[in-house]
Amino acid sequence: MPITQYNLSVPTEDLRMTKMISQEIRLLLTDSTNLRNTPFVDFIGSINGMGSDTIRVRKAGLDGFDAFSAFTGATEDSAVNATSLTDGFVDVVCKRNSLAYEITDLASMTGLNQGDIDPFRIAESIANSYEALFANITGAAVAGFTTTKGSTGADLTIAVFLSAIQHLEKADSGKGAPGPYVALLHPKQWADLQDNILAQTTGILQFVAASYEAISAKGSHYKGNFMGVEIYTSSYITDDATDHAGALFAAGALGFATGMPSPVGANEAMEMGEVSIEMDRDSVKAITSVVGHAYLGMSIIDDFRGVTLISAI
Amino acid sequence: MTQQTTNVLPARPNHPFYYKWHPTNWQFVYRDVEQTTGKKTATVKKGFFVPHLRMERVMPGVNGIHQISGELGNPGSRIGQLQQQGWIYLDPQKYDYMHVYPVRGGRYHVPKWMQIKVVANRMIENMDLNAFQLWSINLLRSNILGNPEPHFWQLATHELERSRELEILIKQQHLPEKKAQLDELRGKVKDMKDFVARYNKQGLDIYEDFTQ
Repeated sequence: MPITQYNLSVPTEDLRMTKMISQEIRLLLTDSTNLRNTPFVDFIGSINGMGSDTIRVRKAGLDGFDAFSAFTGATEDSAVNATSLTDGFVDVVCKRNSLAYEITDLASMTGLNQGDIDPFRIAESIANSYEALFANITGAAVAGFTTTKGSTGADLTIAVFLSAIQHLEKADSGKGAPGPYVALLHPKQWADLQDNILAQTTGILQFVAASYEAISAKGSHYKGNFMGVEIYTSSYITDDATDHAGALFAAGALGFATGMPSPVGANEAMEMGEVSIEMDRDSVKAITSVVGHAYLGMSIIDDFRGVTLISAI
Repeated sequence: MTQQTTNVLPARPNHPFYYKWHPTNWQFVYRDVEQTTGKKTATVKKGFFVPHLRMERVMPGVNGIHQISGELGNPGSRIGQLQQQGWIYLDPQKYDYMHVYPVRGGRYHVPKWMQIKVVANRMIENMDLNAFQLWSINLLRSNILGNPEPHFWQLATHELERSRELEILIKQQHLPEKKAQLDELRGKVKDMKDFVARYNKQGLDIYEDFTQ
């Protein structure tokens, strides 16, 4: 009788195994590309030591907001009326976000090699989840622009995209929002736009697809440049059960604030980017807890600098 | 692992929401209405400007929403800010448009016009857009949204009439399918203008056909 793999592994798995786990752990799909390190989202500040969980962004109409008006006095020495200053504010509220895992010593120690699932790999994963959190909050914030372009239940088209650009160029009674512009679209919206670009019979509107270098620098969800607008996709774009609410906006439209806790009394604490990670032991159960906290908030800072793009889900 | 029970939807929890409306936000939609001429009744397509109600999720940390606990937020200051900007806030408690379902790890909030079916552990959602739009028209007719300002309809008409889309189609009208698209778009512009003209004569009674 020949020696076979089957005989060696069944039923006792003594000389051969029925299956071996791979050395490498392949990652499941994630969507964590965001606009944090781009000029399109402003960092408003940190709430650390500020006396509040909210940062109030002050706005004032200066440096050309008010124009000189023609002198209307009766004579050359008539008094001119004082102009009142236009002002406003926006609040950016930071919220606590947490992510925690627990792992037993046995699960950790039986890991195959460095990089397998252990408390340190989990801590790294939590730090990377911050990027997904940022994308999530951005996706929710951009649905709030007052102006919308697009029709309920209809696909996103070049015409709608162009209309949004033109709206920004004449925003706030023709003053115009200075570029560059960025579009943050749901993948479905991006697919609609791609279809519409391909259907064009004129070659005037050129789409510049993202190069390998651009994707490396800007993230996997950077899609390219169309009509001078940088396009990113995000699965965190929200919908109202009928339409996706992506957006096209200029720098200065959105702002975010952060906070970084300094845990006191933690067994082991690490600052990993904007995330504070601490480890805790439940020694009687041989369990290590890995807990991450991040404080983040985002608001529309200038409503005139953005347009919500709606299209069918 | 816990066994999923049949009364829990296979979805992730989402945030509660409210509807808001800004007087500049309109959609032009078509509706089949019955028109009687003499003894004959025919069904014709009529266009209407319908308030475009916008859904805003109450997500702590976003647009000034304070965190109460976990993912539960207090939108009080956000609503105040919206009202300052001219938005009309539609309180979900008062207008009762939100349905809440239990899901693993939280709750799932949807508009009441959303029909939900679960087939093979997959959730199929279907929004009854007609009913939703009818509700928004009823809000308009009951003066909850205030009187509409036809200026914004004229702006929308003007924008479509001078749109790049129309210009491109004019240049491509030798192609039958492009000609059909052009005719459709021109028809829409005409219907928008007709609607504004009829509104100026009839006022809000113009929506009687919509609510038939």
